[in-house]
Amino acid sequence: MFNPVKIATLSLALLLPLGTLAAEGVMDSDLKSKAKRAADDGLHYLRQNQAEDGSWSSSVGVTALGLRAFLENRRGYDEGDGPFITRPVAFLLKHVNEDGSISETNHNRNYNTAVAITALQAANNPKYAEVIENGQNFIKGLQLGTQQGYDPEHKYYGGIGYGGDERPDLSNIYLALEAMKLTNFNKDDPLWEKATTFITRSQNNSETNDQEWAGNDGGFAYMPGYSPHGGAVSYGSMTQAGLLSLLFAGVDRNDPRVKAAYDWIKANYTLDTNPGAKKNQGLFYYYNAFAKAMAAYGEPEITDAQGVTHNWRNDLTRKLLSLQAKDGSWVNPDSPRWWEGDKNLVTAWSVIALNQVINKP
Amino acid sequence: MSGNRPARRWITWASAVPERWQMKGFKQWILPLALILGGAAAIAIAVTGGSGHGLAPGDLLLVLACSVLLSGCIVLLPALPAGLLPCLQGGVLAAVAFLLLAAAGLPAAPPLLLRVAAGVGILLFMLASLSSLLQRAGVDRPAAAWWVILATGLLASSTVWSGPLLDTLAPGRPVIDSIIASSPLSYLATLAEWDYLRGEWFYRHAPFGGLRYDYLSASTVSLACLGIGLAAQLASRLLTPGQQSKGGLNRSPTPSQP
Repeated sequence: MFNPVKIATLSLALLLPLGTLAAEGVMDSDLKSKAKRAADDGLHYLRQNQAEDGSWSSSVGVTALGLRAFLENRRGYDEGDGPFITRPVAFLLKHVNEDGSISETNHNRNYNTAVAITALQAANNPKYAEVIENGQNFIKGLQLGTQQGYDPEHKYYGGIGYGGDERPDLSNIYLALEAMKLTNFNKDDPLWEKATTFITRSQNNSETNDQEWAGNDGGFAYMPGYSPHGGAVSYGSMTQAGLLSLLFAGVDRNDPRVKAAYDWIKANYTLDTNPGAKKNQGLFYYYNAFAKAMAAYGEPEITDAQGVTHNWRNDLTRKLLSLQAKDGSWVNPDSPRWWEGDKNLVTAWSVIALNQVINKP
Repeated sequence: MSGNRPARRWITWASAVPERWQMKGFKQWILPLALILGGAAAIAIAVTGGSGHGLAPGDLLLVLACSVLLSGCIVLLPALPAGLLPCLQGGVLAAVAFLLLAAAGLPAAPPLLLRVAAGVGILLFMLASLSSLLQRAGVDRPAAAWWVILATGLLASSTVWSGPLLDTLAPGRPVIDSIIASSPLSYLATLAEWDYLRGEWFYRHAPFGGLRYDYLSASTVSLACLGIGLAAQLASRLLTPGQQSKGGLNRSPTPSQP
């Protein structure tokens, strides 16, 4: 009746598949619980620091990211949950401009519009379809091409910048493409191919980059021929952004550009710094892009140049947990560059990154 | 005073012919306008390397506006007599010079060009008024002009030389916005609706592109510049002509020109 050997055998038989799953890169369950708790604490911080009008940091961009952090969270927040969701949505809608941009300033229009339509898409409300479509058209209008006097051989061809000037860069095009992808922009539109031209010209991969400055480590610079960390060096946040951009544009995983970027990531795998960047500038941008890129690439584990295999979800969770303040917020203690001294922004990024970790097995 | 150094000779000549710069008639506008145009073209060519190729339209417009402003200051400030009318005339001349150069080659919409031209004119009026005030306070006309030009240059370049300070001190937003607002480049760029701090050159050489900032509105800066200019004019009137202030700046070894 009660046979301990049978019970033990049965238990082993049940546990063995779980062990196999662990070997295949499933996230540590304890860490996953902690990640969920950390995300909750981050959202709690955002909730506590939300302005009366629903905004964060009086910024369309930060508000959109904060909103996205809520809407993509495992708890399934939506507009029915109350003003802490409806007010930031209203804040974004209040800043819709005639040209389709969603921005409170002239000089961050691409960034703001991109993250705003991404957040509105996550709200999953057909009422916002027209605003989203107008935002898509605005972003498309920023892309540099022959209409603006840039021929296909120009290093900036296909690029998208901040929107207040014409200098394009990889960060802005990555956010633009993410927005277009997540809002289901026409995948046959020439925007994608033109964007791929610019992305390719930002990569240190002379095999595919026709620019003379291009190196060969496979990583990405900030824009063709320039990195803010010196020369045209590759660095972590832009390499993650570049990889994501290629994947958003529909470039195959086996394409040499994607492989070269992934090889750079493996060779420079770390979560202690933003590899290649000075003084940890852009650290949390790196974490955010890292989470999205690794999730999009689809491999739960990554083997670095020393042959060590990493479960990136576990690693990212441990790192973010170690950096989270007691009030649930995050901030870059080493550098305020690129707004990383703003707790609302950095907390939103970190929660979005944790959502990428949590929302997968 | 040595008469065999070209720069000194030019300054002496300019100071000695105030009647020419009073521009009472149309013909008297031609020479200073031609000098401003020539100077601005030379400066723009030197800065851009001969052609505007590769420069974004907004950067090109900014280069042209600054070239006209600098050329206008060099040509007019040492030679304009103190007074409201000459300073206003100088401002108008600078605006016209910008419009002529811009029309020759900038593919920008006319309303935008007019706005920038007005900005160039307002800035030159303000700078000429400040130079007038220094003159009334007893500073040589050429010396007053160069002090004003030097101060303007320092402010215009503040977003570059303040970079290392920003990295070290990490000041708050008000300081960052103030530095940006104090630069005449920011004013001209705002009129041109151009985020110059994120343009190629400034992104590489100044840290502001990676920080949160906002430009002061063009209307606010325009009013401020006009206000400063008019205040300088009023202060000039309160000082009697030729009054020597104690410890005045940079006295010339020669008597001041009337």
